[in-house]
Amino acid sequence: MGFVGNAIYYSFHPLQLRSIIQWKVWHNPPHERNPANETQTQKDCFKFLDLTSRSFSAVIKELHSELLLPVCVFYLVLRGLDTIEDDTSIPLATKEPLLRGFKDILTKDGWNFTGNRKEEKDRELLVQFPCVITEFMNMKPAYQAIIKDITDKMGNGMADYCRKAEESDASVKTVEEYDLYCFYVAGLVGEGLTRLFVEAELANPALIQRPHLHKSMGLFLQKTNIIRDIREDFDDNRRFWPKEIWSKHVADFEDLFKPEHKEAALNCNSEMILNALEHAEECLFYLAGLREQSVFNFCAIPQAMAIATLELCFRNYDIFERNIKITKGDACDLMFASTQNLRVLCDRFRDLTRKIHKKNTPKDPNFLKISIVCGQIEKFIETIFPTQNAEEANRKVKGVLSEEQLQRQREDAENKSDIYFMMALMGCIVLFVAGTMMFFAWMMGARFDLAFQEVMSGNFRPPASSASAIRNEL
Amino acid sequence: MAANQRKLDLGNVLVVGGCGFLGWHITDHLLNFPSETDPSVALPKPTGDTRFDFPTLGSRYPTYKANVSVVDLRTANNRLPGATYYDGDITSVESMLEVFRAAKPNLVIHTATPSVLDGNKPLLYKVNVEGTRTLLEVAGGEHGDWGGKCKAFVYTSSSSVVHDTQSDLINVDERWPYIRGKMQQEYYSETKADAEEIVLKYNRQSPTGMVTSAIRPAGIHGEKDTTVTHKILEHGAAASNFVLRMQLGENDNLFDFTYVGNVAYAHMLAAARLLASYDRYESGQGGPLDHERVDGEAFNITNDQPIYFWDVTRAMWALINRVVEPHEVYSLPEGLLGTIGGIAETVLGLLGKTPRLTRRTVRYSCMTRYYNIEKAKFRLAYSPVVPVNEGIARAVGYVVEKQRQDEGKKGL
Repeated sequence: MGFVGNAIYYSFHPLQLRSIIQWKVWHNPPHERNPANETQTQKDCFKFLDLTSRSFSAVIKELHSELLLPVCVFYLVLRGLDTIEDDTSIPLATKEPLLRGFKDILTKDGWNFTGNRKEEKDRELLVQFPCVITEFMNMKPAYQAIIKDITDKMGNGMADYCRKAEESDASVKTVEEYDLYCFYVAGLVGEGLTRLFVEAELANPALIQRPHLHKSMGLFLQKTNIIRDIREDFDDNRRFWPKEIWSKHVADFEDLFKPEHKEAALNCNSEMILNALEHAEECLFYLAGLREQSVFNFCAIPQAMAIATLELCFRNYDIFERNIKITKGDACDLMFASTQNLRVLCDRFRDLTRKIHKKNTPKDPNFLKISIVCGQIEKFIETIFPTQNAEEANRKVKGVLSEEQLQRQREDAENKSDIYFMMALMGCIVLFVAGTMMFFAWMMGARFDLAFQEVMSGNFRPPASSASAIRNEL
Repeated sequence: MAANQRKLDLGNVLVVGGCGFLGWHITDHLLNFPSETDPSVALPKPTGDTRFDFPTLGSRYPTYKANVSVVDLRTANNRLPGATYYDGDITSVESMLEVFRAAKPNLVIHTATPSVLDGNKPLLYKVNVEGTRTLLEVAGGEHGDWGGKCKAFVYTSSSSVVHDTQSDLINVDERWPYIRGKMQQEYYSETKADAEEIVLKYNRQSPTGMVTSAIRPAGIHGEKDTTVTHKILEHGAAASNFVLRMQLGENDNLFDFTYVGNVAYAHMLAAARLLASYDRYESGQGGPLDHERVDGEAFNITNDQPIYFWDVTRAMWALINRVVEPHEVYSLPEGLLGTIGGIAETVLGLLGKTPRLTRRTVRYSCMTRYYNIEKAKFRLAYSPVVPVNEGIARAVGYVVEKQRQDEGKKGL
């Protein structure tokens, strides 16, 4: 869409435009990086962050200064790993040792990799990898250990996956395998980030004791992407939807894309979304454990985008035909909501959950299960922010008022007496002014007695003036 | 599902009201599911339709060691092999003593009550309040020795004891007060609250030190259900497509529906804990800690899966092939309908009739009403075994197949 296209679109969608403007005008980053104090390698890292990430670079750059570089480097390390794994032109014999040994590369000064094919979009990152290594070595040892550990786990997970793909068939079969795949590509990131947040004392340490929470954070995002990108992945000959789910609806995976199986494809779509929504409750639980605003924003924005994407995709046949995305206006609106507080975010989650529930149809074999998972999300929000409480219910039965209500009652009474006083005062002023005016009129010869008589005899209007009487005669 | 590994020893159990809906299921559980192993008492269930295929209940709920006796007003119907049946009236001391002399229960599970739909006030009071008191006193040994000692008493209360039938109840727990008198518009609920209070106050007060507790189920449904499922299906089968598409309110209101088997299971968990507590008290060991106590306590029991009100009705209708798609729904605002209901009530009231659409029905279908069951989860280690979606399909399957069989019989 060019400028004209945009202009036409937004003149018919003023709310979208409003959200964008609001975001641009009112969003204050909790922290801002200061490029003036940065070294050249730091600048290079941020340059690559911008180049490699569309969605994460903005939120990363608003992170608390303590975590700004560690998270940026963490992201680039994983991106480097991903760039090796994704490149199908690298033979397994080269790829596997690289992936498995990537954690040691992080401390090899000056290491770089030029073996990627030319089309690989993040090729340049690995060519200029020394800047990442330098910054990695400059970090606190505790952060280094965390990043190294996650790199180790993820590199090995990816290597296992590549080996499996080479030897047999890597398509995802069971739901368990699906969860495991998502865990390697996203759940581990959740673990690493959580450990960084806690290490920096910006999140509740209890989050580490509940690993299923940060696992859910990662899985929710990854599953959303897998659902949304079904068409794109299919065209690239990749299949992430588990056979255990799609085989309930169609005989062959290809059938999902054939118009004659539209109903089956939609039911499969909703079952995949049901599977993803099961993580939503734990994501909110996790977000409730974050203390610092920039960390909250960093985690909340992608989650809000994910549930909005699920809402958009739910029983939407478009996903089988093309890549769909939430509009820019909706994205800004969500970012605005995700950078306030948990309450605002929960309200948004509830609204989107209800929208999904409204599209749920009894034709779907999973109709009730979807309804239940939506209800669970609402119920969970209710446990964080209860609308009713037992004390109030007990007071209501006993007919007594709470301290708050008594206070309000007192205030109401006070307000009322204030209003009466003001009215009385106004009345006095009116009487005084009117009296003064009448007094002056009387002094100047006004005949109130005659006026009074006329009124008493029913003549409310002055008699027709002599001038008009003469005019009538003429 | 840890439940299937467990074996609970409950001794001599007397199920009061054991031929009723819930009582029958409790008896079925205690006898380790003759309904699934004995074809002569198998429940009607559609065959050849995967929507009604489920794993067995016996493989998921605990197994029991128990001598089961059942007392009910009439025991000719709804019998299960393996239990001993007694006809008896809980409002009569004599009648109860006779049953107790024969059954010698160490555990009483009291499920008997007239139907909610039966608005007969004197009957409700007589059975729910006086009957419960009589039963308690007989069990507690106040009306003389019947040759045994009852240790534990589990009462089936109702989640409606804290509900005024008008207000929303959102994630409500057991700290909420009873609603009585002018604030309570449903007499049934008032009698259930009175009875529950009597039962809980009687905890450890009888000469024998019998311990008591109460279970408060919400929106109970399942096979043999004659209230919730029956009403919804009746409407679903008879109404026109146009009427089915009508929806009162926005359908954002969550409602608790609980599978009857889970309610039965909660009774058994409470019973097992009560028996253990009784033995602790008797042996002079200290009682349980306050936050772990089961005796003298009431427990909300639900499926812990509140569900949008109209989704349940539509799911039931879809199972009888009356599908209402979301884009076909006409959602009518509550304010408007409340007024129409009010007018209908007044006009028809003058003619001495009750309209199909009353203000109460409107409120009920627009109301949020779900409970918090953390207390039961913690103190009873309760968690719902059969999920709501399966419970609803079980309830509907029973009605569908039963109707088919009944029609077949008529045809002969």
